[in-house]
Amino acid sequence: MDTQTIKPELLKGQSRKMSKDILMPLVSIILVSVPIVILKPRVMSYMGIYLLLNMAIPMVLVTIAQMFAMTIGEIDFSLGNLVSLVTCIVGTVFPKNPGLAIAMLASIIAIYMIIGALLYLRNLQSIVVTIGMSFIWLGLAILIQPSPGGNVPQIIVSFMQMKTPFIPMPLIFMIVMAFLLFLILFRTNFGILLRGVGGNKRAVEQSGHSVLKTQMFVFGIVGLFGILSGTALAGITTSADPKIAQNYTLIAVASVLLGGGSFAGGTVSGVGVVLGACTMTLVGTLLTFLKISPDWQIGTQGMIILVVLFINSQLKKSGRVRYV
Amino acid sequence: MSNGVNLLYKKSLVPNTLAKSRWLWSYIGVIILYILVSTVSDSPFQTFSASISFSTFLILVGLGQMLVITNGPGNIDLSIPYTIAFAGSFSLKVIGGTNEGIILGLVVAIASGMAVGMFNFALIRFGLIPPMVATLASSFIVRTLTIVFFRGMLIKPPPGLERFVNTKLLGLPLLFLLTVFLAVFMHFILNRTTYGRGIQAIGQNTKAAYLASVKVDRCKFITYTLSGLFAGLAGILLASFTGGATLGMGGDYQSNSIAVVVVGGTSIAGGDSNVQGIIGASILLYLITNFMNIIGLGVGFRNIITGIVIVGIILATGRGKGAR
Amino acid sequence: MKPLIELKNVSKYFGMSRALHEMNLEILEGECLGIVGHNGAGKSTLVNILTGSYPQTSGELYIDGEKQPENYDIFISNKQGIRNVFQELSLCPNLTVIENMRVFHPIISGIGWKKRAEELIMNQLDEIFPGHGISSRVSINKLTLGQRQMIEIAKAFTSPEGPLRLVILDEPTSALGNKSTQQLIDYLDTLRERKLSVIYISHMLEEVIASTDRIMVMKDGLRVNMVKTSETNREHIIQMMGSETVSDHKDERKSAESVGIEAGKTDETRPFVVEPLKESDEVQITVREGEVIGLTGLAGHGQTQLLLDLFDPGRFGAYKVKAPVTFLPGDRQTDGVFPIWTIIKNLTVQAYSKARKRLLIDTRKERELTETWKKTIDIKIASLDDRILSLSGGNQQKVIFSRCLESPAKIVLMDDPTRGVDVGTKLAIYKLILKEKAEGRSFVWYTTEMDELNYCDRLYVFKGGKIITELHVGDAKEEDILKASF
Repeated sequence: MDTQTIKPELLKGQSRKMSKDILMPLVSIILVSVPIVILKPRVMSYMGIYLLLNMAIPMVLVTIAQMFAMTIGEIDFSLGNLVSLVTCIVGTVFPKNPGLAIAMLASIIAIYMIIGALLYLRNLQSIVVTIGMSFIWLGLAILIQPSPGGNVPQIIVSFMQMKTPFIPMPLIFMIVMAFLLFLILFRTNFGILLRGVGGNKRAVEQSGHSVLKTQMFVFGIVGLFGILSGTALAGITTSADPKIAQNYTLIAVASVLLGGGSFAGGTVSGVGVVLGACTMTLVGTLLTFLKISPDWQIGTQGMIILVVLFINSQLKKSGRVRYV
Repeated sequence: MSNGVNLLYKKSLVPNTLAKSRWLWSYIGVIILYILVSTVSDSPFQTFSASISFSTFLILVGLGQMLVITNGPGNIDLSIPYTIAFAGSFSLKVIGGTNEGIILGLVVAIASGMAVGMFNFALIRFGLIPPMVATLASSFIVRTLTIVFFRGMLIKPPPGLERFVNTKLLGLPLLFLLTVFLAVFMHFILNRTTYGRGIQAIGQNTKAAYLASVKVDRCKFITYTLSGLFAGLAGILLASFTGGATLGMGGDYQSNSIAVVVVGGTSIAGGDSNVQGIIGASILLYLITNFMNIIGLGVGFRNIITGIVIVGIILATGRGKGAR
Repeated sequence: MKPLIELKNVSKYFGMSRALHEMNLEILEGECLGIVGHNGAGKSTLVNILTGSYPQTSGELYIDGEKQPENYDIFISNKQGIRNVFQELSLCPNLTVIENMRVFHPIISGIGWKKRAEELIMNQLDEIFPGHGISSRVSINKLTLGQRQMIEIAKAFTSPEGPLRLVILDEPTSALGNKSTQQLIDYLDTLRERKLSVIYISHMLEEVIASTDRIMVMKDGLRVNMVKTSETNREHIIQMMGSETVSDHKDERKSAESVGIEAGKTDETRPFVVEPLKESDEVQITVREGEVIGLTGLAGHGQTQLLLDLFDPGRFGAYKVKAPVTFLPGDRQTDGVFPIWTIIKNLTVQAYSKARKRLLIDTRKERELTETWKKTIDIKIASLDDRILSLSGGNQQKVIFSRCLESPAKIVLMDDPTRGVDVGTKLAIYKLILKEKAEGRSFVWYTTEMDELNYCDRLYVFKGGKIITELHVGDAKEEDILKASF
């Protein structure tokens, strides 16, 4: 049982770990992209990539929100309705009363931080509390904008349609997001604590850190990214709609899992999550290109999620703790 | 920690007995709501009866969801809404509007529900996919199947069934009484059968249950199949009640089924289930909706109040830290 | 050497269960103190009180002559320079070695923290385990158990916050190889000059003897003896621990025989209930009807795995198990108790076939069965409808033991079941085993307590994950068993 053999791959350390973690999402997105390119070679153009990835932006943002929650072992079941609510705030409240809109968005973040605190202090399960929140968000959204409509401010719409030189804005966005996440998660103190809480909450507690503060901060970020997602979605669809993003909650969960995360918390890769969300969006696009009717699309998406996760779980089975 | 935060941290916010019997809260809520309704309506019993009628279907699927949740953290059934839609559509189509087909229709509804349940179990057990994602993805597939096979068809229920679901006995809907009877039956199953004791054991400590010779796989198989069965049954009955099957008929039952289980006193951590609470919580939910209707508050307020009630009850009865 | 820590009349009770009783102890500056004793002797309780994980029920704790306040907790003990190497890992598996240092030492912050954290842990690792080969940038879950343990140990010796006074090592070498173990022992030698005290708790008596100045023997929450390491040896320690040599228990066996129950002998006419499926070079176990088979050897060397294989052979099982089995776990908290349930429900969970009236479970029969066991094995219960957690640890274990015996199983697999259980409970369990044995039940009993081997007919000794010897208790010489077990 000697531990003296130096395993060369371990010396490469972090980079090796990263590449293994993003293997699945990388393979997934390639598997989806290749048929798209084959079917419509014109997507390999500026406009092509732009259109492909533009719709993915709100998806990526909401997935990041869910990722932060899942990394500390929680879940936000209200994200879909939150995103819809934000489209209403941005599309209906802001044009008439920007101050009020900003106040509402700030309050949302404050509420999220309070939820984070309560979950920790009262030892509650996030799934139920966030289900309750989802009703509240939906109700608020309906009060603001009973049926789809609204008047999303031009500035946001233009931002989402921004045409950057050479590289399409959505692609820049993805790269920047992945990098930003990497920085936050792996290069800041907060990121280490956050991942530590997800890995071994007790150890972090007993070392004197305030898990309460960390949790509050994390939930604040969840709220923030939910808001960003809603804003982006409003910019793309130019619509304020209380039910537009109902599916988002659970698709975000699937994207996080696709990106290598898990319900147990702790394991996460910013790149993986961005890739996972893009994959989920591209699957829909691919199915459209394949002329699969919308009737079949959602079912096929479901099947694809299952297949990918099944393969992933088989692969994970072989990575057990070694005893020598 | 400041004193206020300390208080939040340590104690349950309400007297211990009340916190232990969380299911009582739903009945207290029902009484409060009934009083409120009688202040604004001349026929409170009418409203009460209407709430009861609608709550029947929620109780039915709530029973299934309760069994799933009892199995412990992570176990949840998100496929209920589309199982309802599929079973409702399929069974009514098979019946073809005539009373002769009713028996066959019931068989079809139950069988399709069970099939979805068994599929869910297979994904979870053999695909090693977390229940949240497995049931979600399978619901995508069921949704597609519903669209593909039954879209655009106007499927009306047979007169016999329509009459049956609207029959009243002693002023209360017969269906409701039968469902309460079913709930009592499930109570016995939970407490007086090997299966029921088995899932309680699994929910408290799956490893200990396995070592205590509990047949974990068999119990989970029965659980998910039963949840599907109840959803299927709810499908045909709900379709008969509302005059036809539609794709979105199950929409209300996603978050609601989880909410009534937990608000009704079942622990989301597993192993501790409560049947009577589901009945009270379901009635409460619809009473709130109807009350809001009477006093002219729209859908928006209804949702907000529902959310507040859910969060409120969880907060009040969540055990403080260290109580686990 | 002056005393660093003093405990005066410290007792700890968990409800009715006595974990530590009027402990008086002095730990001197710079000394390495060994603490030995069987499972349940109170060693962990003592450590937890020293580190402030929970408070003592009575008695006082002094550090450097100063009495410690009532709210003494982990943070205060840490500040005073007391560290503990946990048995359960205190590392975050998903973080790297460096990141774990950041979590463990909040004081390492600001620009350049990574370099400082890396230096801190790597220097310490190099100091204790030269040639360790661990990279600081790897996440913990990619390391072997042995490497994780090395990091846990090294981490405990890092202290950028201030001087370290006491490091408690609790079974520190359970996952280390021979070379690393020796390195650790050599390192402990160097701590004397630095006035760093160490408490060394281990079942590996040779290690304790090699590294300590004094050894304290504990038993049943009491301090039994304190000796200078230079004035004792392995046999002496074993004796003090309460495994008075096997022969001393011949009296117990005799009294068992006097009621017509024979222990220590195998009846070769009885049929096999457990047999190997195929021939193998390795030693494989067999079990006959009515036999009590003991599994022994150093803890964690494969005994539990064998029990689990017999419980659920699966597709690749090596044994044919011909009768129903039941499993009695050793860690009742994680593997045995259903915390929300009542005593009755905990007891009857394997007895539904008996307690059934038509299709439903008969709650009256359940109650009767529980009442019977309460009398048979003398479980101290206020009311049968109480939650099981209201009982003391030993009584909880009695309930779980009854659960197994009430099942239809003919083979009872026991995974060190008397761990942390008081003497009274143990004797009741032993008597019952002999009685059940006479009625044809077989037992496969993994135990870390020497005297329990007396109740067995045959022993299998484990080392390195395999069985190395088979012994017949009746014919074996005591020294063989002793030597083989340790």
